[in-house]
Amino acid sequence: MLRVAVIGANGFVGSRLVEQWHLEERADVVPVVRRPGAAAAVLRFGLDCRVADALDERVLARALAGCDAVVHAGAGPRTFVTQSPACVVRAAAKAGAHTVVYLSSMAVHGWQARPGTDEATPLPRRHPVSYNRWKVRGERALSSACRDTGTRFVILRPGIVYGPRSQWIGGFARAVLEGSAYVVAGGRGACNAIYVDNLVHAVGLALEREGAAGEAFLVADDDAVTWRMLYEPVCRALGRSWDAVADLAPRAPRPTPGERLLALTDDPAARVMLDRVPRALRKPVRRVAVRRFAEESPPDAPRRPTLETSILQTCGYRFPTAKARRLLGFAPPVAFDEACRRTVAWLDFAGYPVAGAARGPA
Amino acid sequence: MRPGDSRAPWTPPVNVVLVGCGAVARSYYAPALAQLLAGGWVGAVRLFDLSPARATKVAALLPAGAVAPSWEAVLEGREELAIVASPPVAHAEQVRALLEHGMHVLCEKPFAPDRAAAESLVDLARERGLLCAVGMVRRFSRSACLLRQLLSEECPTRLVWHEGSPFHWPVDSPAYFAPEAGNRLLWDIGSHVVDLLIWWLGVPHELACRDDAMGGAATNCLLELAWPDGCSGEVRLSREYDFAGGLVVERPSGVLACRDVAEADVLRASHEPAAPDFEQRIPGSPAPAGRTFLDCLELQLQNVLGAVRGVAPLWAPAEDVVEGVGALATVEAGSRLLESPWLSRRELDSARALRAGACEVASC
Repeated sequence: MLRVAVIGANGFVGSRLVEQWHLEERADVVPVVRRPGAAAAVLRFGLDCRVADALDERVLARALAGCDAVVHAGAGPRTFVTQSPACVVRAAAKAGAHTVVYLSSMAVHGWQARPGTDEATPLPRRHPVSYNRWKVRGERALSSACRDTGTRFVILRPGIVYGPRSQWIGGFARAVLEGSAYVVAGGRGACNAIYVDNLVHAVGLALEREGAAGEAFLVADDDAVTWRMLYEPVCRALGRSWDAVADLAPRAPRPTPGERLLALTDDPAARVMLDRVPRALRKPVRRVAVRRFAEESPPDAPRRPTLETSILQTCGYRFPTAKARRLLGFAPPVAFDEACRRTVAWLDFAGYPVAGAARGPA
Repeated sequence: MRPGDSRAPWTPPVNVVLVGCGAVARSYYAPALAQLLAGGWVGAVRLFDLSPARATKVAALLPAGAVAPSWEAVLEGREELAIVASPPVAHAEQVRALLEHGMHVLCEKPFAPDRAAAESLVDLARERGLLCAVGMVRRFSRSACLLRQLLSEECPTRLVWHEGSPFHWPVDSPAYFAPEAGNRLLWDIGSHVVDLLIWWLGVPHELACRDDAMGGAATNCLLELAWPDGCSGEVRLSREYDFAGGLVVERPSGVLACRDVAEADVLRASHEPAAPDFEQRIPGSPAPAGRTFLDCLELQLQNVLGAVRGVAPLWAPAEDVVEGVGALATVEAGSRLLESPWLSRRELDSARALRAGACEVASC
């Protein structure tokens, strides 16, 4: 049986992968987490869990000892997203693992991609959302490290991954309960959703199929799902009407000066510069920034979506999965209706106040 | 008035030895003891841990904290009170040894692995004329005391208690979750919950448990309870999910809710405080029952120190906790699989088989 290390085993996709592959005996799974406490969820299976920071090549190589393959499902801030993929590849090579599967994102193409965009389309260098830019850099660093080390790799670019433990679902449910939930443009945009089990299925194919080596694949569900289709079952499960969800107008697809300023705090180079600002000047600078924000959003201004949400929910393009079908043999095993049923069942399990009619049999 | 701001109403201060210098000692006991040292409640404090480096680190948080060089040195020490905050597996054995050497004891929960062990420690303390208290710190909270009063005035019909959050405790290694340690979720959080329920409503005549351990340690747990007077309850514990719901109690006269028994108010359905003027005196302390976890911890220490000086009865004596320990040990042994409803049929079958296998290993 293949011994597969899962980096980010405590995260949304990683934890489901560990759960499914262990229970279905598809692989000998080795969860890798950043701190011991993060092992709580995966250790209900009593697995050989290892602790390593995916940015620490030496420690990670030790943690990957004896593994045949590595799935990188970790998430984190900018440095993690941009640097961990290459670090994982080098550590895997040192440990003797032959394959790395990296979970990237459709976001590398930008959510305003032109019709006809596919894996062969060059990735844009500029993105209005920083995360998308970081993911592009992470992918490039991974490919380059794989060429240097001779490691077999596969990149998966899923769309919006949803299902049990998903922030898209849990976060929206919380917002519904707090009365702050919204969609943009009626939630009619293409969601490019993929149920977490379908993504896990694609990871398995990426490990198995020879023709997948060195390739990137867009992966999504078969069903053409809009944001409203994804979110409406959550509302129903919580006993709320769709009318309780605000419908906001889209905004210009570029960051405001204030958002640019905020994004700077995530930039290591800018951070170094900011730290050099004398303490005495920091307060006045902050005051100016706050005033600037206030000018941008007066209290009586209409509610505005975040830049990322606006761009995501006004996406008009359904990314193709033809390459994944052809080379991986990818066919999502869980249909949207069943995926929604399982997701609502999870909401109930996770303590959300699911209304009686939406609850499954005990 | 915060309990930590008060001066000890008696002299001389009590000398204390703190056994176990892990995260609980570092995060909670050391700051509380530092406050009590300043207020003249506590005299000298010695610390002991199997790792002298850990003990030295915690000692540095206390004015003039000294490190005991060995367990034997602890047992031969002159302290009147020992606080046991070591890993749970060591509790019962350490409490026994400390009582046998003539020290009063305050032990973190769980103080014993089962009812028989708990009873024998209580008997030992009684025989030696010593105090044995258990760290049921939530009994010192204003909301816990208020609920006790309100539920004694009117029996509830149903209660639902959801408590949990993603696990952030600073453990040193994944070994903390070893299946040999038992259902630590149940013993860590469940100890408090079951203790309060028994304190308020008496011993349930039905108590069943389900948890999601499948060869490892549980992350989620469900307790179902019923009392002879017709009240039923459901307790959901988690190390994975943020359960913001807290406690909801249904009574014929209306609903009571408390988001966090240690730190939040008891509210009526109208969202108004249930009894704004309620105040509970804690014996031995000049401050009333606490509104924060740290206040409750200091009140607990003041109560135990007062009891050592003979000026107050214990608020959470070990004999009160025996029923809870017995109940937890019984439900842990009979716990069934808490199934995850998003699993496929094949996964569910495998989960059940893993659980059955783990139970066989445990019973061997």
